[in-house]
Amino acid sequence: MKVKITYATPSKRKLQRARLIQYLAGPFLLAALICGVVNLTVGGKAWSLIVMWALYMVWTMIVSPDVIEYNRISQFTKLLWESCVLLILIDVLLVSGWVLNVVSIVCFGGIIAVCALFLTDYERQRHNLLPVILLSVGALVASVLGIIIIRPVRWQVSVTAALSFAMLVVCLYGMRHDIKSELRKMFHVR
Amino acid sequence: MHNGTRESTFYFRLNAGIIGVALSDAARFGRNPSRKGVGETMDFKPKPRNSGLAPRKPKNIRLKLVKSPPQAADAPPGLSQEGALPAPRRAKNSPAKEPALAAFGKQERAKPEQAAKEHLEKAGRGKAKAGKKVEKMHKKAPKRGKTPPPSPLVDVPFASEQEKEACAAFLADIRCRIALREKEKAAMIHDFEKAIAYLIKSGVPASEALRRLDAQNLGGFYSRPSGAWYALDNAAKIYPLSMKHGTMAVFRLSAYLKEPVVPEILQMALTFTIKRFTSFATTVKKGFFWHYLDVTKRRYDVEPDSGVPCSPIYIGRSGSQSFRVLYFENRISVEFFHILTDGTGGMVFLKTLVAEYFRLLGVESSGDGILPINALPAAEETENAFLRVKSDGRASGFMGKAAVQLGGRLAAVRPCRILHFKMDADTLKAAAKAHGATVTAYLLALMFVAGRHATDRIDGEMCVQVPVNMRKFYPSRTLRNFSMYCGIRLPVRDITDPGALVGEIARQLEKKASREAMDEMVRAANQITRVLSFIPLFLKAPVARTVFGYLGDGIFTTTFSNLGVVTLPPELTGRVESMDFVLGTAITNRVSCSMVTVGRAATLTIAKNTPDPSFEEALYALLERDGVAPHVEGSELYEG
Repeated sequence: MKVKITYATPSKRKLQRARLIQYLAGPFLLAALICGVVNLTVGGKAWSLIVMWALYMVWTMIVSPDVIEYNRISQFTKLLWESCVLLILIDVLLVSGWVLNVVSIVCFGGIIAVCALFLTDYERQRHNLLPVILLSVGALVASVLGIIIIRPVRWQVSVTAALSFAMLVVCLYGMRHDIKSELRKMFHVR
Repeated sequence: MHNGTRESTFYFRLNAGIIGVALSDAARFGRNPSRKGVGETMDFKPKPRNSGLAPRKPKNIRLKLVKSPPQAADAPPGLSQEGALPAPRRAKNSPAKEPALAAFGKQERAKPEQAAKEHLEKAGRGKAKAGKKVEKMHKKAPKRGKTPPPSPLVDVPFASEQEKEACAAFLADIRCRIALREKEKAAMIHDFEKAIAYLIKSGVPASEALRRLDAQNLGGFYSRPSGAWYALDNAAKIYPLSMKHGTMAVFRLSAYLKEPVVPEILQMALTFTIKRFTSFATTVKKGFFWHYLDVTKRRYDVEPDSGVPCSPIYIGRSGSQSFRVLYFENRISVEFFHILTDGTGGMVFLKTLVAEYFRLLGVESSGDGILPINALPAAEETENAFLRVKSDGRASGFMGKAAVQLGGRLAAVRPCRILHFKMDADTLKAAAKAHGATVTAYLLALMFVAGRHATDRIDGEMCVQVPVNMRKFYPSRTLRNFSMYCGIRLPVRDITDPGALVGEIARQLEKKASREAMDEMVRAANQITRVLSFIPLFLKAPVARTVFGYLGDGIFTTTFSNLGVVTLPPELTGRVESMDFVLGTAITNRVSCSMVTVGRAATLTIAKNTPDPSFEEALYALLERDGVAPHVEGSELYEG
């Protein structure tokens, strides 16, 4: 069977992401497994969960990032969520008592950064509002709960609440032309 | 106009009319604006500029006045008779007529700064003030590699002054109709300039070239911000959930022309065509519960076909497109992420694109599934047609036993080879008839036997997935996905000779590809969709990816998708040699087969995921034995 070649020879490509994932999946899983086994064997605090979450963060942020919506806002908000979970895990599993202050500061710092990312490239980033809305709503709900439940009220929590509310307003302003349609497309269930 | 200073010599008057030539533009076009011989250059912006020294974004179009050469007698203007691209008409623009052209040619590649400096020196008026401006220009001069490309209209042989003016007015109109980002707008204007230049150089009168490229073909698509979006159809929902790095459901449709593709014209054809296919002009986005397609207004570009066919399309960035249009020699290919459409919808797009391409080259055509690009898209074209199937009734059809997989190690590059078996459709039909079967059943029988040659397993079942176009049961004009599939299953031990299999295959096809069976499957798909609807995407995506990763395409041995006979209008039949259809969707299956027939050219394509050549060699031998004798074309093996 003779084959007439009718396709161009592809140029040699750099290391493919898929291959990198293939190479690193084993070591990552092994590291997580070893941590779990050592932690269970030695006993004590469940530090292995923190290591596993940190490995997951590295995996999802660096080794195998999102295939869809890989833009600066979505990646940054994802990093914020995952960092907050990591901080909460450290507080719950290792040393407690500080997480509310730290997570609040991380949140409002993150919201300021997201706002900067959003406003410096408004035309393009206004199509990536959902992660910002979710972050703002999440931070607002958490901080309002913090204000209601925890006494005395800490300044970090109040600032987070104010900033997340402001960010939400900015997002709604960004969608002002057709807010109903924008929300429908973000939350459609069809 | 004149601004009254010596520096304003950069704006000067020629016979052509009022001309403003900025030094930065001199840099862009690589010519010295002070040389009258260089040409009857003209600025189509009548307003004077305050400073011609600082480099700025190109706005002027300088056109050269020469007599238009005669057109080819037989071929439509713009379309070469012998397949070769028309050579630029340098002979007509002989140095004797325009002595400065030679010098212009030499200067063409000069750096912007150099051109500016030379101009000032030769003009003899670049003293103190001009020197300062040159210094200023040096500071602001774009870096090497960032210089705007020279206008293709520089050496276009316009026949008259009126043509130049018409062209200028045309480009001004185009500018008004494009409200994209500056970079994309400039690129699109450049596309127009290239297309005009190509057409005029190939003998098309300027008025005709402008008529073909009429700005009305842009509609309002590029002048309005996007606001539309589309929910995914029920078949498409799984694709973004299951995709991961290196694995993406991409298929490819190609048309082989009888002469080399002109990229400039193809680009314009795409620019005009895409607005009609609004659900294709989209970016995949994440919603809270489901992904969706967000309409993206941008310049959709054509690319040279230089990569691995059906390789994943990068859809992550803001405004990324989910399809690509490629060209290579005489082939126009479109690769689609399956989320957009199925083979039928993709074929409508390809046919419309090809028809528009030929319209720009002077061959008008319509009908036979070609959509009029300037007509309003019908709502039906973007409907989720799966919802047409009534929900009451039995729902089943997705589960199945694991099928025998062909031998050979899975290649790292997928597909690792593409093979096209080009056959005479009549001979193929006769061979199928000799076995008392349809072409699909006959080829399925051959595939089972070829598959048997490509595995060492002697037990288990082989199963070939056969996509079924639901449009034949529910007539719909949708361009979205509207197909289901059935599995033709045979025990390995029974697979011996194609003649012995065709009866059973035909029976299974009739039963499993029936309307009832397909309805059951659609109902099952609709039910799954409904159940998953209210689960947030961040929860269901990892689960779906894991489940799909385990199941994959393991319940099938291979796939055979037959798009059937594609009809083209008579104006195009003589210009399109053949078409092919490549499936790049397999994960563990070693081969995927697909077929499309245009006129007498039937093309069976095998997309391979393994370097093992057993399957295609056996298939070739079987076809040859039946007197079909395919002509085999394809790619090289992408890895050893």
